[in-house]
Amino acid sequence: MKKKVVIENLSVNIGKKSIIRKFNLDIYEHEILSIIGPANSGKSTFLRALNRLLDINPSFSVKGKIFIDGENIYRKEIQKNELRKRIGMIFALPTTLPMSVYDNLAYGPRLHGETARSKLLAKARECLILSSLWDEVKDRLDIPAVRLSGGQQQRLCLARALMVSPEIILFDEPCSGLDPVSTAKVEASMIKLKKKYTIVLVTNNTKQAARVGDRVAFFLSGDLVEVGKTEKIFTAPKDERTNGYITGRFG
Amino acid sequence: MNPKLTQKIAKSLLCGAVLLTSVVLFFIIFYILYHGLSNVNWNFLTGNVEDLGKKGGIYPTIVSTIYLTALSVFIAAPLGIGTALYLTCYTEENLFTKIVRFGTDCLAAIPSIIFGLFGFMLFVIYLRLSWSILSGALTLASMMLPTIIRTTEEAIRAVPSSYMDVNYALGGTKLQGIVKIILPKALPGILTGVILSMGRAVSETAALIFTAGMSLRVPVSMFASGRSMAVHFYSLAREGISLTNAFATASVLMITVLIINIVSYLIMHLFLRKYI
Amino acid sequence: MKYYKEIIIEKCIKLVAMSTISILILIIFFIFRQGVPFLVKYGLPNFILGQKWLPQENIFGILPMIIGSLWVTIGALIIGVPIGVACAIYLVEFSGKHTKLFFKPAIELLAGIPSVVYGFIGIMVLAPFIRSTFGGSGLSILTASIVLGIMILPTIVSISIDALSAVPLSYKEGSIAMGATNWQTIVMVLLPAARSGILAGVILGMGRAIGETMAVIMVTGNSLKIPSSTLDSTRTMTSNIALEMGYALGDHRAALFATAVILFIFILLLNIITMTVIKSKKTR
Repeated sequence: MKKKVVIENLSVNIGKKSIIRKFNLDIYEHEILSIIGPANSGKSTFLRALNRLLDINPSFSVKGKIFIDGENIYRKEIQKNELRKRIGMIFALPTTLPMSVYDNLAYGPRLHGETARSKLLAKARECLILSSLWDEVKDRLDIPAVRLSGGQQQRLCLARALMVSPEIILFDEPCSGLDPVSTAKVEASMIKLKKKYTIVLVTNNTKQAARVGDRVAFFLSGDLVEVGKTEKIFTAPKDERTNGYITGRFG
Repeated sequence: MNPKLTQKIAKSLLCGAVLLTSVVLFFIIFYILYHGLSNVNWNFLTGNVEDLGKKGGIYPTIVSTIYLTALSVFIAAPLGIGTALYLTCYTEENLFTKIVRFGTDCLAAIPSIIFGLFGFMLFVIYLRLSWSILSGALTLASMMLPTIIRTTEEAIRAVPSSYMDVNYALGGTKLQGIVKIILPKALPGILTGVILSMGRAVSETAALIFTAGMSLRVPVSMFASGRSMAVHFYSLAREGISLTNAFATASVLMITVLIINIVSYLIMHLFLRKYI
Repeated sequence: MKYYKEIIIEKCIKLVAMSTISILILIIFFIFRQGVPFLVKYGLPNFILGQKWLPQENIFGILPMIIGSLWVTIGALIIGVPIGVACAIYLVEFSGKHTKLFFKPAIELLAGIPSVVYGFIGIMVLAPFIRSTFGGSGLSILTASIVLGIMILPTIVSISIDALSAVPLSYKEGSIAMGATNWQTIVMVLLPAARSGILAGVILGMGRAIGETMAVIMVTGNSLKIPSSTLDSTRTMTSNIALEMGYALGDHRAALFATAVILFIFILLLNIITMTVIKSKKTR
């Protein structure tokens, strides 16, 4: 399988404090990589290093290289907003923008110059179908997005991320506030999306990682402890700490 | 004493305070309008000031007031909003921003007469602008700046930071996020601050007497002197020139302030409901 | 291309911000530049403690005006604070939705009325009333205190409402759960908890009262003698500046600027006190 993302000697600090210690990791195309670990392990920080969202807060310092399709995204000349267009992100809490459903979806493409309503509508339909939301909102595209339920809003955020045609999608604990039905829908979408996209999922829920991930990476207190195929990690982990976390001895 | 009885007494006293305040407010409004509204007619609003205000209308003062208010807002709003934008979106919270905030808080508390002095020295004398609408507007703008900066800052800070995260994640630049998400969402708050500042400009007297001057003519340009409605009213009232016209002028002032308040209230409450 | 636009706009905004901040500094600088040399020349104690203000003889003592300002302000607080806090308590704790809906815009309206209108009503309605009840001319510290008291009501009411609303619900619940009445809860729990917020509002109101010019000129009588009773006429610092600025020259003018400097410093101190009060609340 082709390598989509290659992480080389990546470490992240805030001031003098180390958030993520130096590690290497490969992410393959069209796979779902689940990242598990207890709170404050650096999982979300790692995600934000991938789309350079960390840069917004100048106290973060990132060292090392991240190659996407062979190009180092931390080189000087990189256009960050073009980079972020290629990487979609879904946050833990549904963050719908204060606009209508349609405007939420159109926001991304409009940032990059797409204004033709017919094209936007067609793309919106496509993305809403992919995120299992189309049937529920197809007649209500002009209502304020906040009127949707939590689960629907989260799926809207997913559709919105898809609107800019990313190649990689990052999920940061996307189901933490959702009921089981919505969670199932989001997970089903992820599996559907795998065919077209590369997915990195950070989750607090080891069972979700087992359900959805092709491979699993275990982070503990800023270290990448172990990474491997899902089945392997959950049945015969190499590291004692991985075993401890999965069996619930700590977490 | 029985706690329930104490509560009853306390509640009536408190209610009394509210009633008293409401009565005072109504009294003020009705007293002015009752004595003055009957004299406010088309001639009054479009006629020139005659005999220092004893006769005639207040048209020149209306023009001066509009000119002063519009010009001062035109100067203060962009400067104030831009500064607030800079403080909230383009720097992080550090000693500099804290000093600036302290400075604007202090300036917001400074009496208008001191601004009048400042305007007099800097604009009328030093910059040789003499008594003029421009001097008055610049002085008013200086008074408005701290308030506009503060209300804009608050309005922008009230917008959740997660919106900018979403903007960045979708590949937007900082400017796109500010223009497309933050400013529209903060707009009601910003507008309210600006409109209320306009209200204060209309009511302002002390700062204008020494800067915009007391000319009774319609100002032909911003370099001409002009007397605002509030200054004219002050002159009529204090010099005892004409009680009838004083009441009438006050009525026009009150109605203007009422309209401004209503508009800002509507913006704050209707806008909010529409845009969420 | 988009990138360049970003940079240009960011530079423009920075320029705007820096200019504005410079203007603010300019204001402070100008006032001090006009007033401080005079203070140095004339001597600060002579200025603040001098009991006579006779510009023709180059005597500039502003003690009568300082006393006038303070007396009028304290009077305004005596009237405004109880009524204002009472209104706030009623609105937060006892009133229904409709009262709140009506009263909040009403208070804001009160705040928008021009100060000259307040002064006018002071002359036309309040002064005759005080004249007939207490004698004298009717233009006095009492008149000014009442007028100013009404003028600072909106400030005190809105800040007190904010302070009372910010008290955590758990405080109230704890007290009521023990069987206290609403009023007992207010007195024993809410007011103490909201104390610093309300105090901040009071200090802000005080700043407004001290700074008020037009209404005060119209109702205080503007006498230059040190007042000895609330029914006496007096002149405040702000009135003095406004009344004489039009024709003051040379040292006289500088003395008025010096008065402005004193006012400025006083209000600065009030602001610092307010900030410390609020900060100490946060660290508790």
